[in-house]
Amino acid sequence: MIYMIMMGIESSAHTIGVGVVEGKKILSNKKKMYPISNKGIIPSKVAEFHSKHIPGLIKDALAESKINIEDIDAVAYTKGPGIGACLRIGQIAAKTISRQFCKPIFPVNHSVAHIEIARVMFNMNDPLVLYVSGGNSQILGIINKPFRHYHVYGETLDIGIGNALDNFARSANLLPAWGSSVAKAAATGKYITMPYNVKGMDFTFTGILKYATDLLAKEKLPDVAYSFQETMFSMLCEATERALFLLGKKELILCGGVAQNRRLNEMLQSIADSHDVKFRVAPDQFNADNGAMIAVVGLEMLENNDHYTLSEATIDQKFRADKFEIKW
Amino acid sequence: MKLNGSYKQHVQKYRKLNEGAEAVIYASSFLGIDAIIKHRVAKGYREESLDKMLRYQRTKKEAKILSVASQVVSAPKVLFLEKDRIFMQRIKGVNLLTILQPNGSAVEKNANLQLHENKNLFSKIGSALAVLHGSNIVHGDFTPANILVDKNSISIIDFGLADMSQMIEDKAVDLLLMKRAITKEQYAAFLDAYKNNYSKAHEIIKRLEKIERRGRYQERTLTSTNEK
Repeated sequence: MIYMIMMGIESSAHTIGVGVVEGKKILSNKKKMYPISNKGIIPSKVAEFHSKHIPGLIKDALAESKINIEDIDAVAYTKGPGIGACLRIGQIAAKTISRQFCKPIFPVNHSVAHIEIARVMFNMNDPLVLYVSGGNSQILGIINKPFRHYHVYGETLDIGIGNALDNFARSANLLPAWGSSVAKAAATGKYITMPYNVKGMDFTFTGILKYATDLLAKEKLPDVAYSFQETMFSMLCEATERALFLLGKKELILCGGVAQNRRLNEMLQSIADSHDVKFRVAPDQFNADNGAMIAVVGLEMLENNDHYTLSEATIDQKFRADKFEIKW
Repeated sequence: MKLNGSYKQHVQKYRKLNEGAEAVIYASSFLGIDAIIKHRVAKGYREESLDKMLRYQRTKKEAKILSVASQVVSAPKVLFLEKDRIFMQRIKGVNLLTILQPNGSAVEKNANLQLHENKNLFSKIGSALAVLHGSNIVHGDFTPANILVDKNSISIIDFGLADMSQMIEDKAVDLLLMKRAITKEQYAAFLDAYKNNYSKAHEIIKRLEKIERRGRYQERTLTSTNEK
């Protein structure tokens, strides 16, 4: 059987990535990450970094896939959500390829791509999804009305959990990558009670963030880091467990950057085991931002006869997962 | 009430009714009264001290709020309280969620729930919430799943996430949760009754609009959780 070959370009935040997939097979998944200083990132500098590296990454991805650019059937890129200046680079690259080589172009939702790569990889039909990254923390599931899409059942009412972890790490003078630095610091900690805020299936993180950063002056770092991480994860788990019950789902996906945290994996596995739920997490390279996941969604759009003109290939910084129609 | 000996001798056999995300619900009888036992079970995934704290605190708080709420609206009365268990009066009725669900088995029984009656039902829910908010009780999980319907009367159950609060924001979230779970017409009837029975309703509704305008909610599709 002959499968279509799709190139995916991801550039929503600090990572620029190019992936090539053929059917369900991932031929290559190349990426470069903007080196983060302790002060965060400046959008224009990141965009500059992306534009410098994208030609090389495209070449590398093609070389690793052992194909020429003419061999791809179409190109997909991240439409949003993300940083405008960074999204623009991926969009321009995709449009250039589309125009130069007469390939169809597909604008993809970044959040849905994180979910879909795991769903396709593990052959799931109707999963509940906990999507946790720097800017997003959402509980989603597919519904068909008013159009087929990933409905947000619960989400953070203020900041994403990754953002909270990064913020805390900077206050504690930890080194990037901050998420894993907090996890490392937390390994030997003891539990201190912290504010716990879940409302139905929604949650907030700013309260506990302020509490934890203030506590750094009084308590030992491992204890604060452990309690901070543990309490936030418990909040996510409680909301997820509630959603599992409410919706009666039997499959659970964890995805997004923070999905790489082993403790969060362990907690959700325990919930899944006690309710007979199939729980899956994609390998780390697909939970960090990457081009292959964009290509996976692009391919699904192609196979469902979706069609976009070059002028419809836009970017949208606030492109929510529930605004993206899934036709498969 | 003072009980002689262990309270257990007053409890009839447990029968598991339902298992929720947070608690297991048993049917039983207590001193001859039809009772529901809500047992907040331990969650192995989280730190033990956090787990105990959450379960004990929530149980105690729920019992406290139930005892106030059951005096102002139709809600279960508290019979007895243990660390992680509440014994409460059992209320008759069908869950509103199953009534609203197009394929639920309760539908046949409630097929005659016409739009007119339906409106009446939602205005009853609206006025009940108004009374709760007037007593500064916020429910915290005010969705159709936590409303029991018996013929034409409604009861509110599961105060597991409830709070005593004067905060406009908390009250507005109650409205938001219900709004997200029912149709526009149903919500209109619900809101009308709420406005007519709560003097501060306009403040709450104003805040609800503000919450919905906040970035995260702005784009959120307001589809009910039971539509699939």
